[in-house]
Amino acid sequence: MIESLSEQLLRVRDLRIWLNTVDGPVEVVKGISLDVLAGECVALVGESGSGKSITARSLLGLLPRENSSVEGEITLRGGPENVVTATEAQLRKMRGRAVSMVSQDPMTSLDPVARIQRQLRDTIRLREPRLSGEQVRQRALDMLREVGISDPERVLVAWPQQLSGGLRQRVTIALALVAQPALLIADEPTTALDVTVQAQVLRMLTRLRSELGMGLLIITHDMSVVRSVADRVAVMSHGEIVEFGEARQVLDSPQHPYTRGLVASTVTMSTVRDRPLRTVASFVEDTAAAEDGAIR
Amino acid sequence: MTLETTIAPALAVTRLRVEFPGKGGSFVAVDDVSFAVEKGTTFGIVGESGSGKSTTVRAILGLVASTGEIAVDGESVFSRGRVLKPVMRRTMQMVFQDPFTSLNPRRRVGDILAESMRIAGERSKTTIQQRISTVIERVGMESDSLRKYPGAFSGGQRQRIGIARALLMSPEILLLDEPTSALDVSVQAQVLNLLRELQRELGLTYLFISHDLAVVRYLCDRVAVMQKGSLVEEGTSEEVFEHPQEEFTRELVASVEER
Repeated sequence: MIESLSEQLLRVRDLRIWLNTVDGPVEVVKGISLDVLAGECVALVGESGSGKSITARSLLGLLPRENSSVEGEITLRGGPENVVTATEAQLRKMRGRAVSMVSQDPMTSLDPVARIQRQLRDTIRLREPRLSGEQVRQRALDMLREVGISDPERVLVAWPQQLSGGLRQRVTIALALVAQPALLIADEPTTALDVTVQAQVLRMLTRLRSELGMGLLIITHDMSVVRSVADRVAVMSHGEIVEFGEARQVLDSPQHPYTRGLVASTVTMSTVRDRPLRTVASFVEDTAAAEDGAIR
Repeated sequence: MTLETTIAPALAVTRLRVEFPGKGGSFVAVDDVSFAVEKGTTFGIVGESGSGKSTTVRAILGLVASTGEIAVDGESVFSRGRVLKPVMRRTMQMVFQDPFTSLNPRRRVGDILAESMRIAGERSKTTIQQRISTVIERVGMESDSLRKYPGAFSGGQRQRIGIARALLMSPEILLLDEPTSALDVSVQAQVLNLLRELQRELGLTYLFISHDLAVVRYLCDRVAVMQKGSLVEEGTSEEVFEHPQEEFTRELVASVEER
């Protein structure tokens, strides 16, 4: 692995996150390390409660300080020295340019009472206040075309709720991309979409990544998404990264019992029918039994 | 009656049609849909959002107005006035995507299950308690779960409770609407295994609705593809997924196979 800092868009070292609960602080991320190189797609995969989405939010400094605490080191190219200790002003400057985020439900990141053009315009103006109205409009249309929208003029004047789920997700990706971030974090970007639309959005993300030389960190629970887009994959379970490596290698010959269980329990188009599915629990038990056997 | 009696399918849907009235004319959500499910088998309906697959299930249970014929073991499920016959409320049971939304969060699981048996007409407290214990154990849950509230359970456990509730009245047919779509993959595998075991042991017939082609291919004997209210293709799981005939089915299969 190339470890030169110039190649790294994102470098995470020993990240720990505690959430405050009624029973006191609970450690939900337990010292993870991770990096994303320029032009690379890394998938952070795990099941609900694994800590993957909390990790994603912490990378943008989005965890509320009053009920969480974060330790460790998060460095983004073009961002502050350490996101964990940065001021709110530094974080605001970083978001959009150094890193941008697309979430699972596009409705939560689109303003329901603003037409698409205003949302794109505001975002573009924030970065480049000196552009003329016409230039801003052109930039917005270009961006919508870039995310594969064939009739950008119609989408520009639409309200979010007039668009289909697939179009909305494209618009939020366009919004995340107008400031040309070095790294795009996509949290379950296709989970809420129909399969045909999922395939389109994944193809588009892959194309944009190579065209714009952008890094991509995809947060997902879906191994088939990992297989189709990721160069490397980090498998997260109970706040820890249990396995991190080349995507093909991890999927085809997983080393950790948890990853083996996850891969085996995923139903794919080539899963053998008429046979029970293996579960994560059965793999972990098997491994424990094998280790017991080895000790005896 | 002759000796050559043909066995009626467990569930037969013939020319089902659902129309929703709207401002600019009515919208046909389900258009001339016919299919039959043999006893003890699983019939899958796949389609994208808005294709009409959930509306089809709702129409079968008489929850939306429809035309066409629906028969269980050769007998129409509707009485005069197109009301679901009371016996059909036992014969057919539904399992939802997220059972939590249908479990009252302020009542203990045991009370929720007991109530649904009382509603279905069961009077004897002893029968109710015995049946609940049997069923909750059958879906792989501890009996002390009955004393807990729905909020105490994970998604997979809640779906087991949802399945337990569906099994209480010893149904013949389960209508499963995206039962594993909200679950993590490892939990999904457990619930799919459970559904297969229950089918084998109890001889249940399943109508399984999902947008997940891989899961449908794995679980279903026969599959129908639904698009814009119509069934565009129907066949065995192998036929539909290995040799899709329709353009839309090919597109669907291709979009998951390139992964």
